[in-house]
Amino acid sequence: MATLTHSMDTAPSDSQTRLLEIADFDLVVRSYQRRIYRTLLGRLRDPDLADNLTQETFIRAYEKRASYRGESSLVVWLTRIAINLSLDHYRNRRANFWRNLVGMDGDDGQDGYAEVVAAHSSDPLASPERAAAARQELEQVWKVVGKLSEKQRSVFLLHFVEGMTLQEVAEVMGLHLGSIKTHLTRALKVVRGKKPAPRIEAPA
Amino acid sequence: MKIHLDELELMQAAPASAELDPRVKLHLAACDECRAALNQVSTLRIRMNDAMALAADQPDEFWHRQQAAVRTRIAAAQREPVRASRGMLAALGAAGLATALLAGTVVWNVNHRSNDPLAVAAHAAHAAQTPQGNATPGTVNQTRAGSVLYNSGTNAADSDHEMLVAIEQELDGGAPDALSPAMGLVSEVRKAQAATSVRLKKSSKQ
Repeated sequence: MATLTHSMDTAPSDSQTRLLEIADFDLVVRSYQRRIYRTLLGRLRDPDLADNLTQETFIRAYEKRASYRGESSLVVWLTRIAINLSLDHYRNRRANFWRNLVGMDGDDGQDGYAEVVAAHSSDPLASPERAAAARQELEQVWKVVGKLSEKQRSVFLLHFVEGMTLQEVAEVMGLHLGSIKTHLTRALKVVRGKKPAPRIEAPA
Repeated sequence: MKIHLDELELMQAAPASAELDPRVKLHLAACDECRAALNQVSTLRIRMNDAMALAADQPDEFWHRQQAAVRTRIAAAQREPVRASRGMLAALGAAGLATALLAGTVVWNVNHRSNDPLAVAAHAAHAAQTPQGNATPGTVNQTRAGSVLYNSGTNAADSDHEMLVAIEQELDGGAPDALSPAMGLVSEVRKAQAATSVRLKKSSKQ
């Protein structure tokens, strides 16, 4: 499985396009679900939502498998679907904000930060010291990521954590290479504390 | 003036496996500040990777449940279009049947009524009472007897009546014996026509 995942990450091939055509779509899900979930979690900071959108990503991929021509690697294609779904979510959340404002029901607007930290501080196998250290580490990183705008966060995590090339990030985000470079530069400045955090969390 | 590495260059150089540009390598060898910055960014990258891996770490059950959910939803989505097309076919079939029935009824009504001598006669009587031009071509006229006649433009009842008169005149003017049954039929039709006409006139006066 690891070999398959690795080969799929690097370059598109006939076997990748074939995978979307053959019945064994499970293999695609098994190979990429962790990565897509991690990307969505980093972007959304909500484990439940990341789980839902990960499922949705694969369902969309299956529905649109005919449109996959193998121009980009499968992981880039899947990540783009995931990012688009999260963009839709932000748009809906923005609409929900206005609904809440006029008294209609919507989501509570809380991100899953506390939930993620709590979930990983109660590992029964970890020693109390190790769990505390992991929690502290996660808390700090989460705070740093939280300083970035949605777009900066996505670009930053895709390149810095997921190891995508700038070109791949541009493809996933649907932005020009120049914009990607600008977002990355700003994001790293914020993360390193060289620039004040943006005041408005503009939806990507 | 010494030009330091920018953020992008630091990020590109951060992974341990990164192949550094010779110019960047040369600069790092000579610049403590950039070396420290690269060290900071590299550490940050490792910490973020570990933290994200930790945040996304889930037990096997979570991934199995996710796979099963995707499988179920895809299977459901595959069934959905089949159900939709069956429903659509049923609706189309029902609509086709209804259209055929309606068309058949209309055709039967028009044919049946226009062939019915009594209806023709009633309409002829009605037409005789109403001024010409009241009937608009292509409309459905309601007679006093309550029957519905389709007006095809040239008043069908009038032309039938004229045809009967013409046939009678032809036969009166020396028709062969072989046509005597036809002669009798025409007389019968005309009598029926006249009787209906009188009945309608009486009912309209009342």
